[in-house]
Amino acid sequence: MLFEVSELSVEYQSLDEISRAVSNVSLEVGSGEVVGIVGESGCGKSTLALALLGLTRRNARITAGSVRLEGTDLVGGGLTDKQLRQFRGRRIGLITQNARSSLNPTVRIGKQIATVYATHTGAKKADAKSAAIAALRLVGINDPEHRYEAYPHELSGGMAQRAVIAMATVCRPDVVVADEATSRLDVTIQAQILDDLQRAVQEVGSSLVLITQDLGVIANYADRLYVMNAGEIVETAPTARLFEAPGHPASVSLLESQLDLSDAEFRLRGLPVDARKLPEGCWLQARCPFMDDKAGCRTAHPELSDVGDGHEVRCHRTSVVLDRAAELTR
Amino acid sequence: MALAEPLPTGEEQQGPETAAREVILGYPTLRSHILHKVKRETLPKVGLLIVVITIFLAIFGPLIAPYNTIAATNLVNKAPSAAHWFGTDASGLDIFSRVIAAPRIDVSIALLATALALIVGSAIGLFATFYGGWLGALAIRATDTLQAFPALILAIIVVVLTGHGIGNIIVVIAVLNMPLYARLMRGEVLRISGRAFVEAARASGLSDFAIAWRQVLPNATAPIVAQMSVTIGWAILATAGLSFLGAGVLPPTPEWGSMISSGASEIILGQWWPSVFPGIAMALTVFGFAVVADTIQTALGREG
Repeated sequence: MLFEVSELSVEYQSLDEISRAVSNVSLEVGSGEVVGIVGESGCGKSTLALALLGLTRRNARITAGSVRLEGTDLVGGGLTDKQLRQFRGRRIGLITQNARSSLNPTVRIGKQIATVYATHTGAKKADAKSAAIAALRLVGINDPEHRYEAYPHELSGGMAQRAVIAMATVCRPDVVVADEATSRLDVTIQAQILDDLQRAVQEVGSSLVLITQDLGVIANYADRLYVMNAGEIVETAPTARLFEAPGHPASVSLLESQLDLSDAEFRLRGLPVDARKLPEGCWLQARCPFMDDKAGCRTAHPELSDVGDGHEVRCHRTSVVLDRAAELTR
Repeated sequence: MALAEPLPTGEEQQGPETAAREVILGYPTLRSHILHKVKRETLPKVGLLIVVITIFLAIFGPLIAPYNTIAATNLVNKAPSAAHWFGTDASGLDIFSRVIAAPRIDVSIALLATALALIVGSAIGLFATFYGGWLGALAIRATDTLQAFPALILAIIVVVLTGHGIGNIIVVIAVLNMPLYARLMRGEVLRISGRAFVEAARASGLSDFAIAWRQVLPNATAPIVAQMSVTIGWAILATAGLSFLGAGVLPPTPEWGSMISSGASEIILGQWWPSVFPGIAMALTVFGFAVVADTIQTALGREG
């Protein structure tokens, strides 16, 4: 497997409280594959996105697990900072949410892209510039020679997002991680950007990890989906399968939000669980419409279990959920 | 480019790609904000004019001075006249010549001291904060401690102990101003290093040094530039102050502070001109730099 994450955990520490943002996340991304990670906001998606590059925010740390790119572990592999930097941007590209603030406001966008290229390849100024222009063209920016000279504030939201995509793909990485790449854009632009992203990624031969809270966005692009909740993977299945037969209450809830039903009977209630005080048993117990004491929802934390055809679910009540969801999707 | 930092205009350009060129020309930069203020308001014009004249005199002053500025003559203590506009002093030197020659010393010291303070102070603030650790904390605390001393008194002590050389004066004034730049830079680094583009740079594999240099520094220049004009004004005052007290530049080198000082004893005899003219020149210069600093600060959206 090209990119393999296993049992990755990230914790934030503030004063004497520890909150677990990512718990035992395992996922696999094959060469050229597009993998989606979906989850409601606050479920640890962005923390996971950074951790896929072996990075965390200042007050967080990766406490367990591994992130392997072609066998090299970026987390527990004992790589030096310098060795790690040769992966970031070069072999794994990150597209962050809110593109405009991900660009340095004082530097021309082309120059920023060229800098990333020159840092990793040692290319000369002129070569780095032409690589940056090629990357801008690849993501669908017209007149890239001219746009090279623009400052971030001179770009529209969609343009800025394309520039960020160009920066993440300029070194032709093996994997591109896109964290909410389109969530701040309006719907018409979203589709264009995703098409451009997909095309760019195909062109440079990268795999793509699309992280979003919007199941609808991802449906047309991802080969396989992982559903995240409270920092852990609660369900994974090939995209079509997950849409047909969601087996976890969190997936059903996301799907239902997507369908925009007026009677949202299966939607998770309330706010995400407090990651500082995770309860015994299932972490969703307080919010879940399927919760049942007799099934052990309050006493035993469910494990991911295979329900066939590469479909895994972390729920004590999967069979019930599958039945009810079948009614919903019909 | 320090002055090219764009200001938010509250307007998002969502137009088609073809509109790009107009967009790029249309956005107001900090530079255009300042130019706009200078064009529209009187005070910034006056300030800028004073600064330009001062710098012109610092370069050409001694060359265009009508009389020799250091060779004593018999015409002592003459009141202002057509031949000697500002009169002559106790050594028979033409005061007008000395007043316009003085910026060479005063402004050079102020500019060099400011440059030194800015470079060293900013570097301490940038790297000590960005890399952190005990060494960084130590550097910041050391500059804080330095700031606790009364500046001019410390300057006098140091110059008296180390001698009157111009180099010493520059270093002392620079050291006294360094903490300001270190702290300003520290604040900026703390503000900027949490921003998304720094995280993005880290995710692109840039080294810490590259991030500090390319991402943090260019975004931290604005308040530093504004502070610069303040420091130049202060440094001119400090140089003159030291010289006035006899701890700075010594006569007969033309320098405002020492001129005020040597003329001071004659004021009581009704000979006001040896002190008043250099005093006015110095006050105007400091005022000019202060106005320029204020203009930059207002353009930055920080009311001075």
